Amino acid sequence: MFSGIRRSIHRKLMSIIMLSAALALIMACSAFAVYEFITHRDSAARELEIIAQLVGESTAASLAFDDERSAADALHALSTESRIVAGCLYTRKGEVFASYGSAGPRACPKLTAQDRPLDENGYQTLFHQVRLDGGFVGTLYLRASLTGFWERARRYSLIATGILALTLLVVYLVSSRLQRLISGPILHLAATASQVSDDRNYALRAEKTVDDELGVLVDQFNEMMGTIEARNQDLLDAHNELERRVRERTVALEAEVAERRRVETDLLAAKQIAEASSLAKSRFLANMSHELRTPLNAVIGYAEMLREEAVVESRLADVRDLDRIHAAAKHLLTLINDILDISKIEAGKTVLNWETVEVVSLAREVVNTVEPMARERGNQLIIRGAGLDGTIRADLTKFRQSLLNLLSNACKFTENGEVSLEVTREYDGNQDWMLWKVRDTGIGIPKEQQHLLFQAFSQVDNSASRKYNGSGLGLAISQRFCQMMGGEIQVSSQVGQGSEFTVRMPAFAAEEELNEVQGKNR
Amino acid sequence: MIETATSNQLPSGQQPAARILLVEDNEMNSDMLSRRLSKRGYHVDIAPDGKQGIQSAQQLQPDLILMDMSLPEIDGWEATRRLKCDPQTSRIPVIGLTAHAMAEDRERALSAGCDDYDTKPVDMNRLLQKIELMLGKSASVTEQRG
Repeated sequence: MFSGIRRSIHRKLMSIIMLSAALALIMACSAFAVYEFITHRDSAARELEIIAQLVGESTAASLAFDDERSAADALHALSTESRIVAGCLYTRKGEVFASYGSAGPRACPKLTAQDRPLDENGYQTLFHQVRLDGGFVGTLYLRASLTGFWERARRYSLIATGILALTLLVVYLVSSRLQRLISGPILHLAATASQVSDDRNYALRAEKTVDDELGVLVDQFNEMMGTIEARNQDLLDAHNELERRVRERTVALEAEVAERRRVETDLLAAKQIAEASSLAKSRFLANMSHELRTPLNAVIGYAEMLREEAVVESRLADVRDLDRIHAAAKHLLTLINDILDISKIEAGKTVLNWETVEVVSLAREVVNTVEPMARERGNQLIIRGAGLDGTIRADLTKFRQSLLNLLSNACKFTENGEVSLEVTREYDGNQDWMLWKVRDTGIGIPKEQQHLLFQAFSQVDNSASRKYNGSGLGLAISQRFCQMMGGEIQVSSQVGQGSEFTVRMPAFAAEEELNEVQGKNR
Repeated sequence: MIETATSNQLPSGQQPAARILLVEDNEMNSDMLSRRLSKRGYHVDIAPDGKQGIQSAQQLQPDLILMDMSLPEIDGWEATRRLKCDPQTSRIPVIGLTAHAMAEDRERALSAGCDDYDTKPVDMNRLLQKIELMLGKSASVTEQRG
């Protein structure tokens, strides 16, 4: 490949130099040859004219005196000029008077008006007017050969060819050395570029040997290589950096994934343990509640029985003590029931038994139930509201328990005040609601503690539940019950002003049976 | 085997004392409940387990059975089922009693054939209401048949 370029550039350069030299020489030689030819022909023509003048002068008298003999002699003198091959002398009338040459008078052309010198093929001809004392006496015709000229021309061209050959030889020898000045750097550059493209080695540089345009070319090539090398290095660096980052990220991700998997496994295990322990706790609580209630039944039952007897026998001190035993046992029972309820809720074992209940009778029932407690604390207990007509659909036991919880709380935390149960209806643009509002004028609940009210095992104030004989689970249980029935309990309260707990229950089911119930009532 | 507590106080009216069979394994509970019921004028017989409860029901033909559901030998559900299958005893109303307050217990008791259901510890007034209701019902059924 390189030898191909080498040969090509060598040959091209050599050819150019040789061709230029040859052309220059040929043009020079041709110019000389043409010049020589023209000069030679002109001088020959002038020579012929001089000869014609001389012969004319010497033959003018012979013509005037009609002396053929002296004319022939004079013509014969032409033989000294070897190149003159024919000569004719004409009279005034144009008849051949004398002739010279091997062909004799036959070689003499007929005279016409035309007497200009003619260049025939290889010959020069001339017509000369012979005058004597200014008078026209006849015409001289000369015909000369150009043979000597062609001889000369052949010699000339031989010499020119020799010079050409010699010159080209010298040019070849000199240029074959000198062309390296140009082809050398180019070939070096080509070889370097070739190596670069083969080896992908961008650190290679061409060597600068000359300071001309080729030197500039080498400089630019090297500069370009520098740029490429720098860019290549940048690319390589970027590539390496990228690879390094990818490696790092991969390692980090793998670690992260492993960590997450571990955490997930741990969480799953923890969740299973928690679920299992939650279930175990619920079962344990359910069983324990059952076991606790059996002896408690006896305690409550005997206390009630003995109290009845004590009342009959008017033993008032015993009645008071038995009341205390009874109250304590009842409290214990409430605690146990609450714990059972909440553990069932948390174990997801609570089942709803839907019933349709008349609102009025339910309201009366729950109010009657808490009536003794309200009276005990000097509270007025009131039922009001426009929503008392009709029915509500709910799990009666759980809904009643929720209402009783709210009402007994209201009674507990209010003294010499008012506790009311108000039933209203509301349409929120989407569905009908029945609102059961339990309002009291009691101590109220601080704002920051209200959100804790409905959380199991996280009471607003444990001392309160102790003081007021509750488990602290009642609200949590009631809230969950109402939520299971599609409703909820909301609270609004101000310390010292009282509290209002609102049970929002869906009323859509109740509406369906409203007409039926109203019809019955009529 | 069968304790009998006689009434010293008749319920409203001059009807003879209604006879109640209390099937209860806990001695304290049966003693307490039978004494309280007796005080209100009922004649109470006690059977300590399901097997003896069935026998007593067949022999004594009580007007009403208070059946504790958690019993040894034969439990209350099974005993009730058998009583309701036996034409001799099927007409006797059964009130199931259980310490479980779960709704499914109530369903279970009713599906076993109990006519009503109450939870322990008993609310005496509520239980008495239920007993009176059942006795009135069965009396009317008997009258219709008679």
